Amino acid sequence: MLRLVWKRLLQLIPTMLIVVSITFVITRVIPGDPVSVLAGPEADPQVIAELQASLGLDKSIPEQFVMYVSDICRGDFGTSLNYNEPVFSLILDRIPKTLLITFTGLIIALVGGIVLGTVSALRQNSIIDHLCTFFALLGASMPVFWIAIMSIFVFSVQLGLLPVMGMGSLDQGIGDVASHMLLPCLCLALAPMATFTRTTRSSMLDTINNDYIRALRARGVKERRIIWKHAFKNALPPIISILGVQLGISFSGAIMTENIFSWPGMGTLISTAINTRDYALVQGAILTLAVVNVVISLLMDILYMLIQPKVKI
Amino acid sequence: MNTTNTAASERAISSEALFKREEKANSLWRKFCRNRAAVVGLIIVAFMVFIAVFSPLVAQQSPNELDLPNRLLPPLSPGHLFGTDEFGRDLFARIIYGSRTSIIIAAGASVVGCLLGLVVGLVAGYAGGAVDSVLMRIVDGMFAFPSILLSIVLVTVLGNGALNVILALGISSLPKFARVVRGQVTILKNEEYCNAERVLGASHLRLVIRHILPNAMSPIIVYFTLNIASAILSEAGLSFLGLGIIAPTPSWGNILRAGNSFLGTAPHVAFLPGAFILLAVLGFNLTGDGIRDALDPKMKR
Amino acid sequence: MAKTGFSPKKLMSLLVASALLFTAVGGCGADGTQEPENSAGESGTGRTPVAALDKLEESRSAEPVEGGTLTISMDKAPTSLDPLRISGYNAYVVCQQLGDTLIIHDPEGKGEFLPNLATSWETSEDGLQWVFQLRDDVHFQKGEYQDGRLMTAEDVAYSFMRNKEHVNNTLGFVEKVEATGEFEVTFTLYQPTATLLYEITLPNFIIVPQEEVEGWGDEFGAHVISTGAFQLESHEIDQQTTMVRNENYWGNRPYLDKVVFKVIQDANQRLNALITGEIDLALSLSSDSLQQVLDDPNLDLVSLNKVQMNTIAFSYENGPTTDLRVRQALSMATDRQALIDAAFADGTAEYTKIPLPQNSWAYDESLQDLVPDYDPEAARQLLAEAGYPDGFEITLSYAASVERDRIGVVLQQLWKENLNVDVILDATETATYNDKVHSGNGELYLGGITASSTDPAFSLGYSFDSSKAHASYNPGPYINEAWDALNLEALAITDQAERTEIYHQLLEMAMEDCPGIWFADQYPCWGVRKGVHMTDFDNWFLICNGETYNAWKEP
Repeated sequence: MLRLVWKRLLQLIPTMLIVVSITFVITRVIPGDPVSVLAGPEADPQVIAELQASLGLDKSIPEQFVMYVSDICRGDFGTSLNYNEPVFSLILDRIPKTLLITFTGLIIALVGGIVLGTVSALRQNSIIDHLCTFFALLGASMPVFWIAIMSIFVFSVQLGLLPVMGMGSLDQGIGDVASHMLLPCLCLALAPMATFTRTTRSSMLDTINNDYIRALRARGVKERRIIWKHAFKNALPPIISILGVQLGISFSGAIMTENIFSWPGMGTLISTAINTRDYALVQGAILTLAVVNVVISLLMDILYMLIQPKVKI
Repeated sequence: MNTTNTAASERAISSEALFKREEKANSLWRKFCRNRAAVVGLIIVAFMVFIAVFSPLVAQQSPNELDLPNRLLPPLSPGHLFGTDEFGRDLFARIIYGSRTSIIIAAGASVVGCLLGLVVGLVAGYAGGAVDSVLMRIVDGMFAFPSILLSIVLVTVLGNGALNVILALGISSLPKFARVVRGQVTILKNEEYCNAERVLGASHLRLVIRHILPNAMSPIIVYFTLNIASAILSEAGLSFLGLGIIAPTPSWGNILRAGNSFLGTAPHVAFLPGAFILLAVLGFNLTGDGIRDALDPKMKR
Repeated sequence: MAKTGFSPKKLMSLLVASALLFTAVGGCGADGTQEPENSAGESGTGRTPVAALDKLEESRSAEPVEGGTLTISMDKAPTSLDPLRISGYNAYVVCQQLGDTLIIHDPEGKGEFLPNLATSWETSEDGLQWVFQLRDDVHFQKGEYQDGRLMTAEDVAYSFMRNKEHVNNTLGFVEKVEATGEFEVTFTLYQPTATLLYEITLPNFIIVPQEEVEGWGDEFGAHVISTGAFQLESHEIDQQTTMVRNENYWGNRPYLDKVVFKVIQDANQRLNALITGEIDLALSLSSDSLQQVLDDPNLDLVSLNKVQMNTIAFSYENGPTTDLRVRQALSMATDRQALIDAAFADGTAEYTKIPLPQNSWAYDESLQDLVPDYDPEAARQLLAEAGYPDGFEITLSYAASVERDRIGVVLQQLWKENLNVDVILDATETATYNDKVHSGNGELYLGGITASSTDPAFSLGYSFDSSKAHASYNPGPYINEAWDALNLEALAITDQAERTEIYHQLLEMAMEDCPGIWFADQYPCWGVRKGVHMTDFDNWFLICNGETYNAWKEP
């Protein structure tokens, strides 16, 4: 087990090197540089040249790459030009906020998906089964930004029930933050919920048709107990095995969602960074997301092994 | 071992395989048809493809003709089933022609992603060893990027235009395909019949093309269908951000983007293209799931 | 907050809600609730600064109340609030509240100046020396490195010289600024410069104490200390900037307790937040939102007396537009009113053909005749003479926005119809567009600059200056030594009538070469909730200053 974790961690190193290289190349290939943003469209070319020199952007690309990689190896992610703050501390400030909505969204999706999936499985091929699957799939087929602007329009603007944007503030109580979180989290929950519903349904079907469940039934064990104690426990591993992938998808969804709701997380940070060509920040933020992604899927694998010790990955 | 022998045995193998495949396909189709949701999905897909192919017949009006005095007419106005947009253009025509853009781009991107993924996955899976490790680490690296981010960045680098969007979306779906293909190939190449072929002296290329690829096809088809759904969403997302498709070409995403500004006064301009995206994506998802269920022996019930 | 009664709008929202829930694809809930009135030009705003003046009158008659927080939205946060580094609309508005400039614009937009930190000023005979007498009762806000000490002439000299030494400064014509008394500063210029007074009203020239600047070093941008009515509490980039009342302010005691600037990137979300009351004032609304602001009984529309000039600049370096006849033909084939109707349908922009804003004191209606009217027939002939009887293909580059997308679409249609010219729209995000302008590899640049003042030096004077080549002022670039020389001359004269004369000559000279298509003078508009009483539209929305302005909010 430990050896496996080590192996996975070692595999992480080349992956990260690739991520670093890709982000570096991409940032340099994108037209425009930080100076053209920093100086603004009104700046004359001399000013731009001077600023470029002062930021070391007049050096050759390979030189810049070597400098960047060696900085990273020393744990230095550089300083954001736009925020004038170390990239690391910016990310540290933002990542919990993104995790807050992605995890909450995922939990909503998980609970919703398990309920819908179980209900479907128990009423296999009934109208309810079809409806559950259909609604789950419907949610997954919606463009996130569309449902976001529509729900803001309906629930916030017209009905005045929920705030339009931002994160609220803890000073005004948990309720304030929660009400700000509701719409973004629901938007994020839609896509994974369908997958969870589907997976729950099929693995539940597998287990409840198992011989030992039939045996339990024959012995007169209560149906509810059978479902939640036995069938569900066996249906869980496949769900956990897809959690990691779903979390990655949620990160992707968070970029769009955060921007629409002005949620101050990694999504808004990255898009601001890209828009301002804030090289160090783009690289740092993407690297962080990649690490989080990989670490989480590692954790999920470990969890999976704990639940099903027989499985080798 | 003489040549005639090889050829004969090969013919035998292939005709048998062909027969099996045909039979398999037939039973697949029957299984697929028994799944009502999948049939609904296929009908939606057929409908979308139809309006995309025959846009000029379905929509009588031009999608690009401006008529400023009649801007933002509500749906069911005389002559405009879906009303008009901010230029007074017929929204019905724009959405119908938009389906063309959206579906061509989504399908194109999936083809590009699938082909690239096939090459990478086949090479990695078949070669194994160091090649596999290197290729898969690159794929892992790409996979670590949130996909929408990768497409945004790629479109910014490549520039606007339908072709560039296809490329960008295709490249960002590469890792997904590469992983699936590699997984299949790693399993298949150690199957008995592959070993047998190898002993019979088949070349690598032949082995891959004649034997491994056809058998790896089914999951690829599933992923291909599902990827069209996600590519429609990504294209819409890009257009919603103002990247990608160049005006005045309509796409569902850029109609939605324009309509976003009028949500308070003319909500149909944003609502309708979104509904079409939803429908199309739902169709491809249902179809993809249907194919998967038909292929998956576990789902016989 | 929410409207009372069951309005059609609410009904509509319920319909949309149910449509959402059941995803009925056919009809949409909007039928029947749509206002048919949408014809352009007829809408009520007219010239928006007038609306602003009405608002001013109304505010003066009401009885102010102390207290409350004013929440303002911006589309993006200024990176640094260091007055040295700020540029652009948002940064100006934020910085304007934190500190005071020596003088400010008068509230009626007459192009006059009112005392602020300076009580009086005079210039020497030769125009090379300007002497400002300062107030003796101004204290800095309390900060980390000083304890709210008295501001003296030394601080003013320090702040200006610091700015002058910065790479991006606009004080190239100033030789030095020095303290010539405890409360007297003298500006020495290289040449007489008429725009000095305009320049120093910019929020770049608020006065900052040296201790704080040096104490904070690089972080001063997030901890600005100055003399203003509001003191910076926190500056979280791309979230919010908070400032609180300065209890030791030298002038009016600010009515407002707190001012919060919230960053909302999406234009529609700014409008939504304004409608729900999450913000009191939305800076830079999209032109599409304006009709909704006008329709909403809880909202008012106001605008800043600054003009955003909208331009399609021709490239002098690439493509067919290097030929004068092609430029003229394209200009004549452009129905400017059609562009305005498409992009600014709600009446926040005025028709124009010239790069001199209509709120400028040098503006004269007859100047419009310098540019030929819309004449597709003549345009076609001219293009045929230039050797393009069958048209050509040309790329229009711009930073993507809903308004510019629309201008592009209408232009495509106009030029296709009139000249058989195919326009390819190259919409990119801002950084890519800036890069295109800086490197000069576009063919047509759709953009514009904001004239920060009614002095033509800041609009016309920048537009063709060869030192602004390849900046957004002059992307073409138009380069003409004679023009540059005359432009410098206009700066050296202080008499307004004489300067007006020269600017007319400059305009004529440039228009002969047809360097671009100017089509709309647009006023940046804000939506304000009723009950917010603010009065400054000529500076950068000064909330509270010494004696002239003090905004307040009904509880």
